[in-house]
Amino acid sequence: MIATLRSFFRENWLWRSQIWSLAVTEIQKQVRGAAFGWLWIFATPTIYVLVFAFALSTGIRGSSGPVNGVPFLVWLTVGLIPWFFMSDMLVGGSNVYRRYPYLVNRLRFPIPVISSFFAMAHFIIFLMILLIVFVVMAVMRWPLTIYAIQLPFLALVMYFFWTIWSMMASPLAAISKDFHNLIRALTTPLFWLSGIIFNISNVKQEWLRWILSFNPVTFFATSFRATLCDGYWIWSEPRLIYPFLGVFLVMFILAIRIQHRLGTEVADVL
Amino acid sequence: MSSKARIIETDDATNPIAVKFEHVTKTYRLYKNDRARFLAAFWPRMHYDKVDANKDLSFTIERGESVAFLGANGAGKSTALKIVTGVATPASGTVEVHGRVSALLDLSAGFDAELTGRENLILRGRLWGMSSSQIHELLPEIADFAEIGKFIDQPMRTYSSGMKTRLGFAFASSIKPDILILDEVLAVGDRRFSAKSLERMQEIMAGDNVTLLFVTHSLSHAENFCKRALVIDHGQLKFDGPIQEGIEFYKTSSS
Repeated sequence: MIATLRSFFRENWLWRSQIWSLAVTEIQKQVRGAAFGWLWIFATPTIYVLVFAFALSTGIRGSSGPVNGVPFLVWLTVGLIPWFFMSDMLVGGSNVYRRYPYLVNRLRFPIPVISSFFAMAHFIIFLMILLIVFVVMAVMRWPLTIYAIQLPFLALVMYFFWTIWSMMASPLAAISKDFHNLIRALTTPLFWLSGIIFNISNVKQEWLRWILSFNPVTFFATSFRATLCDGYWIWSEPRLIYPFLGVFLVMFILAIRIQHRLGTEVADVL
Repeated sequence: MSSKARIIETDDATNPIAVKFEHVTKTYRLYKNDRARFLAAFWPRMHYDKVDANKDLSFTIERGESVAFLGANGAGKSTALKIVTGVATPASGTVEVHGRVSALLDLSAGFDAELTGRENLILRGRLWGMSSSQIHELLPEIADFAEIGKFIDQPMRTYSSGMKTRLGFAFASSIKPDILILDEVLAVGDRRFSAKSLERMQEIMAGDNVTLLFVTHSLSHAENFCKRALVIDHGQLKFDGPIQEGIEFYKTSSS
């Protein structure tokens, strides 16, 4: 297991310049085929933010007032923007070997590194659409506080977490379409149960809140709000941190085990 | 998968040995269905059938040799070449590969269908470790040789299989590998392109110490290029020797 981990770090280092080229290629693939390719990167999240704002303020009763004093639109945008990265990683990131089959079985390429560059590409897109958050904050005159310095750290944790998710899930998705379908089916529930569009601290039942806190999407949505809206240090909230760390650790171990066990089999089944 | 195989790969093109197989066995695990394969990831005792695509294969290919792999379809030639390329991992045995391998393993040639020909060539060049300027120097020559014309800026999904293979061959043979692997490549192009490819291969072989591993069903091509033949049948090595004798052996054993 240690050997698998070591070779992963070594491969990422050896292939660093190729990782960059492949990440650029992945972004090209995202924006290609449409005359307004780059525009769509910003248009889709913006439309989502506006539609959710509309639906929540007019359709769903009484949920559009300020949330703990934070303007509703700021609160919503800060929670929603990271979701686009997470949903890309949940669906696309769990199936990277089928997205790049030629790197698996035509060229000599270390397969865990496919997750690295895929995550990097979508992380770069996330950094671009983060601009939407700052525009909304500026328009709503919502100031940055000292707690915003958690942002780079939090973004990196999100990047690593979903890279490891991709390393864990992709071998399983490569050998089983069912697994990929399961992930697709779970993506929407993970969103609705994440507290992105409702305030998780409003959940009255202690046990229910405890269960919901094991959803990593909840952790990231809540943490981004801690950083940009609610203003507190993430580590001061053990009920937020510990369930997430538990999930991270289990996933990390599973990722290494699965890569170790299935790593060489993936090329045989694609 | 924890395999007992030992794989030694270096970029050392001065090593007199280019490729060495010692008792290499490649086993494909056939599960009843995908669900069984999935469960096996968590439950290793899941039942599966084994098929040995390569069975106790041993041979040594020296630097600068050109070797034809002969055998019926499904004999295990392509599996052996995939192991040399590094995209398949044997279950047991020792594999040594010294030098950089450029392989053309099938018609799709490992290109991304969504990218244009040019983007694919740039990406492949980067993956091979070339700098941008090296790539841009090489690009016109490759496109020209492959006779892609204006299609170079179209997505590869619009290419015919002949165009893909031509571009694949042009790339694989232009990047100056130490070991060149060609699996059934010349079968697809038209006769003119075949002739051109053969000429290119002649050039490569005449030049530096390039080692060629060549799978073909055209015995005349094999005879033209290779001094040595390996005949593989049901995953096992049946003959290893001079090309004429190899061809004779293959003809008599397959008829």
